[in-house]
Amino acid sequence: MNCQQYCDDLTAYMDGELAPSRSRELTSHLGQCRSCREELRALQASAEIVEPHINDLEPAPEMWNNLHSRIAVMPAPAAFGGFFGTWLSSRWLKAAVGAAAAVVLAVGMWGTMNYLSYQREVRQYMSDYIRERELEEEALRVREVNAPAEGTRVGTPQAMEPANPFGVIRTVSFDNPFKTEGQ
Amino acid sequence: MNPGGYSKLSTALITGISLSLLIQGAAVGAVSAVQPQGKADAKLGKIRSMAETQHEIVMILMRKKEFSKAMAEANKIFEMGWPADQEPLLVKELLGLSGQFMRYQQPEIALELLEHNVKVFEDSKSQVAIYKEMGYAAKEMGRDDEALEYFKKAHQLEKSPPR
Repeated sequence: MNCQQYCDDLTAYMDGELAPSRSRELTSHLGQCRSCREELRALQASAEIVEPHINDLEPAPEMWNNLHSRIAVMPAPAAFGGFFGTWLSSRWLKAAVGAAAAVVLAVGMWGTMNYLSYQREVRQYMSDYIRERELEEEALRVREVNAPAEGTRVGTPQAMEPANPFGVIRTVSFDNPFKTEGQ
Repeated sequence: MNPGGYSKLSTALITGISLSLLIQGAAVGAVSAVQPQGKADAKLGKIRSMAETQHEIVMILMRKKEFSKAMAEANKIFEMGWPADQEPLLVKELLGLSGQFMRYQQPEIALELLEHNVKVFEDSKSQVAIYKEMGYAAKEMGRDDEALEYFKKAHQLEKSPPR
């Protein structure tokens, strides 16, 4: 134990709140340690100053009387009357509050479950489509590798161009009529 | 000729004229009914021909990697005043073009193209297909939250299509 730990216990020591063994240990330490003794003395001096004035901090009896009379003249809070008053103050109120809480909880749980299930459904919908598209692209690549389009390099986007859905562009290959002999 | 003979002749004449008028009227009616259809067909044929050319222009611009220009030209395809019954063809084209932009690693352009043209489509089935593809494009860009929003929209439209 060091001095700091002993000093932490000094107030309890003064008030007789320490365990007997701990109290004995501290007494023995105080016999040997000057700085802790001084710390104890300082604490005792402070207590001597404060203690005689503690009673003065009690509120005066007049103050209580004054407070009581002021409360007495204040208007009483409006109470619930009639059927609602009776109903609200009865056990029916407790039952209704409990039922309402149960309904709110059930609706909340239902909403959360619904939301989670919807999220799951959409994610599944999304991944299904993405898989379908990836397979489609893969099939297109395979088809293109097996039967490459004329004049295109295999594996290029150009080779996988979508067919023109609006008609057929007629490309007729013919010899260059301007070609000279020997060329 | 006796009076009875004149009567028979005039009756036959009137009947003949009435019949010929009736036939003529029916023929005119039939022609006038056919004409607007013919006109519509001619108009559609012209639109399809323009769209066919436009599609090829878009493909060429993509090959040249002029993607913004390609998108601008692609948008023109959907602004040609198509009749409503051509929607399936247009959906096919829109999805085909966006897919091709994605093959060129241009998902932003694909998404922009889809976003710009989704309003052209009135059928909820078409809208569902387009929103799904928008989600796919967003996912390709790593914008998962945005993708999820597009898929939610598609899912909602598919579950309860607007009347």
